[in-house]
Amino acid sequence: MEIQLIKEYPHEDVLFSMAKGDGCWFAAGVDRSIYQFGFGEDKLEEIKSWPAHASFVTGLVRAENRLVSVGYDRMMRSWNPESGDALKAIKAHEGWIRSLTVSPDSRWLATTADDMVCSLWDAETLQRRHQLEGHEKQSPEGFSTMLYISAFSSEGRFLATADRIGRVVVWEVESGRPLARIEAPEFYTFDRVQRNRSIGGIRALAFSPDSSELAVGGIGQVRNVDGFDGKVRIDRFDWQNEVRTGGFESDRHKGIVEHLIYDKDYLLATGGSGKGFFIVLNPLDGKVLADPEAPMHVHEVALDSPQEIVGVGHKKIARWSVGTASV
Amino acid sequence: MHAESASGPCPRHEHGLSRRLFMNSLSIGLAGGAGLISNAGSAHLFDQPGLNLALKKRARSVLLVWLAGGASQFETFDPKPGVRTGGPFSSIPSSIPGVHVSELMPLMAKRMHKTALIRSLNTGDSGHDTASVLMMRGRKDEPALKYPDIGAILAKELGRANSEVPDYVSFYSQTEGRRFSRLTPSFLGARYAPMELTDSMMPPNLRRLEEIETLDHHARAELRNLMSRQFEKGRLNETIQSHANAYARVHGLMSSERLFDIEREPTALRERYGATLFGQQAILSRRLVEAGVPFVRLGRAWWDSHGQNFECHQEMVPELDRVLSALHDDLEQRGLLEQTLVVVMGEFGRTPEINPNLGRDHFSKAWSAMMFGCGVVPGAVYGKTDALGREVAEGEVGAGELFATILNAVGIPHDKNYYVGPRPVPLVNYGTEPIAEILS
Repeated sequence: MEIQLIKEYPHEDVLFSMAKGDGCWFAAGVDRSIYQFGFGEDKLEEIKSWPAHASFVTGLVRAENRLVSVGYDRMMRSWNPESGDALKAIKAHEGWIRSLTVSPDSRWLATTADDMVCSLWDAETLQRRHQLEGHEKQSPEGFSTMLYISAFSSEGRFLATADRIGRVVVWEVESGRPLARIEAPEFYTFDRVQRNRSIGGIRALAFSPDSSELAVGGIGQVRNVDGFDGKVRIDRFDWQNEVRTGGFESDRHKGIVEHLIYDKDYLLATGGSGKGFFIVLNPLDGKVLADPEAPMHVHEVALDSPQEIVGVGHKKIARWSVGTASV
Repeated sequence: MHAESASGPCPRHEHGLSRRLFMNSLSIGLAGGAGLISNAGSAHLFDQPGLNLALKKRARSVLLVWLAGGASQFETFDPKPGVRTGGPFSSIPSSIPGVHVSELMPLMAKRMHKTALIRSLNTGDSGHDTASVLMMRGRKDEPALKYPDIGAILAKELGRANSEVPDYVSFYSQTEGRRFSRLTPSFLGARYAPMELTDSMMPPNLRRLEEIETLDHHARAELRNLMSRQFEKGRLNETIQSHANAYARVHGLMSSERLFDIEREPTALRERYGATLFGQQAILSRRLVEAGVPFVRLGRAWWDSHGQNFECHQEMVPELDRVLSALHDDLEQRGLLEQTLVVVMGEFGRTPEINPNLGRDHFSKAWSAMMFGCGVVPGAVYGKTDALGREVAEGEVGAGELFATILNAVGIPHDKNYYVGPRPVPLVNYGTEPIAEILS
């Protein structure tokens, strides 16, 4: 498998999240605005942008005919994607909202936040349906912790949530009932001796296409918690039996996994430290299919088509081609 | 500006001078490190050493909360919400009208009217080790002269000659950056060197050996004293006196085991400080201040957030907020704020720019420090940075000015000289002035 950079586009903002529109893309991040853009021949064509949140925008999804965003300001907001007009604003959490995920059938939205609650919302009405509480409110050392991420299974029946100290909980979406709990403390480093603080956490989740397996991404044990001085770590679990079935750790320090895509032919991880990376694993044997560098620390990617990936990250947007000939 | 008696300036008129004190202070002023005498640079009567000693009685201790590695001013005392450099945190109103602090500091926000805040430090050094030395000594060393750090100076100036408690205690439990400050009494002599507590909350070898009975321990001390007094007859000089003092201090330390035992503090109080190591060491610092230790450095490492700055501060600032507020209230309730100055600073702040790891790097051009307690104006806010926090916009001050301010706050004239041989060595570089606006 080959991933080749088609083009990188500088951007003034640090971009955390993106969503595909009708013939365009949306992205948002540090500067609190939502940017609508397209790809021109040589440069990014900015269509419009508008202020969206009072703090970093950390999640952006397209749910039917609306754009929905979340941010560290604890708000969930919906927008008319054509005009950028605000539709609805909800104070969704009591802590920073870390992620927003839409179910494959667009019925559900899931938000995770630092109040350590995952909320499940009716995507149509933005009514809260469940508040899922299964994560510790504090780290083992008595500090604040974070509920970073959630992911729906492909048929939308299950939802997984993961936190900073390495706990994963799998929930049944309709009932909000917890089904499984996995502890993966290898993703969390607390340096008691040198620096007396922590880094890490599970930042990415993806179910396998048949929903039987859950991939978990982040960073392994970090030697110097001043930065991402650690190896990329990806673990795979038979979540129903709460058993680790495989994993990957890079042979050198590359940083942290920010996003996972689990396809039938590959498990793709992206993220970064000072530089960005892709790591593509063969889901059958766990072997590395490709591991190209990325031109920036990548925060999120999406498939524009089976042959093209679009990604956003640190002050850049980029496009890559995906060649599957060697898979 | 607000003024409240509990944490306000120490009234100078309360410190009247007696003839005995005057004479004592003159004699003590001559008993510093080897070959060292001191005088105030000013010719004013009240700046003379003996009288100065009486004046400085108003301050008994300084507690430096040392944020090692460099905490972010954006995420603590100088938030810039809504601008590109400002980061994700919002700001909250403090108890000083119009002054906001980071939302991570709700407890201190309610107490800001009792603090003095400096938002305009430009200290010109962004290396951990060199900047740590700079902030602890107030200036760069000369090639042939190493300056004593603030702890050693205050230990000398505020310490009592017959004290049985240590004059200078430094807590620094993490290994990263522990040696960067290179704490030193330099020419003041080992008498003012810090007792550094790193691996334990209690000095090593403090406990009497089990095989020596208490009675035997006291008997040995009495025998030593008896022999020492016999020896001193007709031989009274500084060296012998210093020798005797050293024994007395060691004996005093050994009997101060209880001082280092925070289990003696009420559970409710310990919970207010929090169960973290930093919280527990803060209680111990208060106990030391209460017992008369002139200078305590309470180190909390490691703030060096090159990666994940916001999560680092999300983790560490609430702890800082809790510890500072508990410390403030504890000192205030015990009436100790009137004689104790608390200084909160690190070696520098953090960059406005956010790097690819969502971190902030070292930044010494525009950052903040905070003080409360004796000698500073409650509610004072000095200086400001520009809209993006990239430059000092008003009231730029450096490490020397901050150093001079701390000295003045506790009653030590910044223009005082020490002498190394015949050479006068000022406490701060000539021409350096304290920040008068925040001194009470």
